[in-house]
Amino acid sequence: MVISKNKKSRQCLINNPGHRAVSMTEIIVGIALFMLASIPSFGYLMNSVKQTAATDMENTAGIIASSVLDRILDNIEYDAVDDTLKLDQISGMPDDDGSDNNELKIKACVYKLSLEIKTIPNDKIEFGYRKTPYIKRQSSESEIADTGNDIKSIKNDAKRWNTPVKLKLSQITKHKDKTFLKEVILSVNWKDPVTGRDRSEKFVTMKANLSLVEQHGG
Amino acid sequence: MCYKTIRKAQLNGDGACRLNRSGMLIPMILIGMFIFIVFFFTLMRWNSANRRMNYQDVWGRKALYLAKGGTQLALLKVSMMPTECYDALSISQLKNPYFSFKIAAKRVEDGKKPVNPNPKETDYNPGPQFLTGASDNRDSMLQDPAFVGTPEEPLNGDLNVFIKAFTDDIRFGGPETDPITGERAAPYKHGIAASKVKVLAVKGQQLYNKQTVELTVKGWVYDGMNVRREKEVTKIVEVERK
Repeated sequence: MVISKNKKSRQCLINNPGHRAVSMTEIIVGIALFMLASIPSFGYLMNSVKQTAATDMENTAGIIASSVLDRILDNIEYDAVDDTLKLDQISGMPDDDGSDNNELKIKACVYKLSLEIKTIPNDKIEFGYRKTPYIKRQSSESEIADTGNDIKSIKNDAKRWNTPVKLKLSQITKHKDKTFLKEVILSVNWKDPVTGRDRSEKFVTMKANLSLVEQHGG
Repeated sequence: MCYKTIRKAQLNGDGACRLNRSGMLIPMILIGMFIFIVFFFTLMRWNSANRRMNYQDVWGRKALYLAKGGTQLALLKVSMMPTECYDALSISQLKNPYFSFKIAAKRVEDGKKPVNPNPKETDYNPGPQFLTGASDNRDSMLQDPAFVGTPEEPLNGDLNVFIKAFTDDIRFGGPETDPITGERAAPYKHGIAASKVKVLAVKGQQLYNKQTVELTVKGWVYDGMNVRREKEVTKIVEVERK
């Protein structure tokens, strides 16, 4: 009974026990299996390298945005926040091109930074609240509320409990020629050198003129 | 010749046990493939996890700066309207906002009662101290979720309606804003809201007409896969009735 094509080599093995033989079939099957495993793996490896580079650039863009926006929110005066800010300079990030051109060159990738500032007019900012309920003067020195002055009575009186008020910031401020709120939109743009794709991330925040209110009142 | 016979002959041909090296290539390649697959599977998982984390990180940063921007708006409102804010906070604590703890402390020092109902006197201090009647228990009312909300919904509860009214406009406005959700669609769908205002007790419950407040604002964005990402920023501020 014949069991394989390698009959001759097996016979040879019996006659010469120290001899090693590898058949053509084994070699072909081995190479085929190796290719089967390695080609997609290699492809994936290359793809991973590209993705890792893209991920690294996204991450860098996020870090740049954080450093710029933190400076704007914490260290720069409200009046100085405008689109002429040298963003690469204030970011404090290492810049390989070394010039203040709103571009940061990091690890051979150029990140272009731009700032869009929208100043919100005082008559577009509305502040609402509920009017503090009228609380009658106590009849005595007692610390306990008189009848009608306790929370349940006040709550049951809709006029005392729920009087909504809405005021525009322009109505309540004494600084008529000043603004109080700016919307800041930071764009970080770069070109992915591996894929050649243009990438862009935008970050939105707001800067309020808190120092003016702290120093001179509202 | 039968295969079993060959194997037997190979093992016992010279009377000693000997390993057959032929046919080892395929098992070796299979082992190699297995190692390959495990290695690349690990790499794939690491890379996709890393990418996902990074993706979340970039969108998380966008939400964080929205929350920081919301905090600026909230601080502006608190600075412009400290009295309204103080009153809202006082009511949430069942305190009478018109009652002065500062005058009360002075009066107690002079051996008088904290409340002085006579407006003609210099140390006039309108009562009551707390908005609770004789049959009310302030402590139990301040534990009741119907009055003070739940840890999950800290701005709910009857006593928080003044705070809620005060914080309701910590959001975007204007024609491009959805009036219900307060979200804007450009450059991506996003929004802000005050999520928590908590009064921190100071100096043995005597607040001296000042409230130390923990103010939390959340910002959120919807990422490229329309998943909502949120970040919160908390600030501690002192609010004084002026």
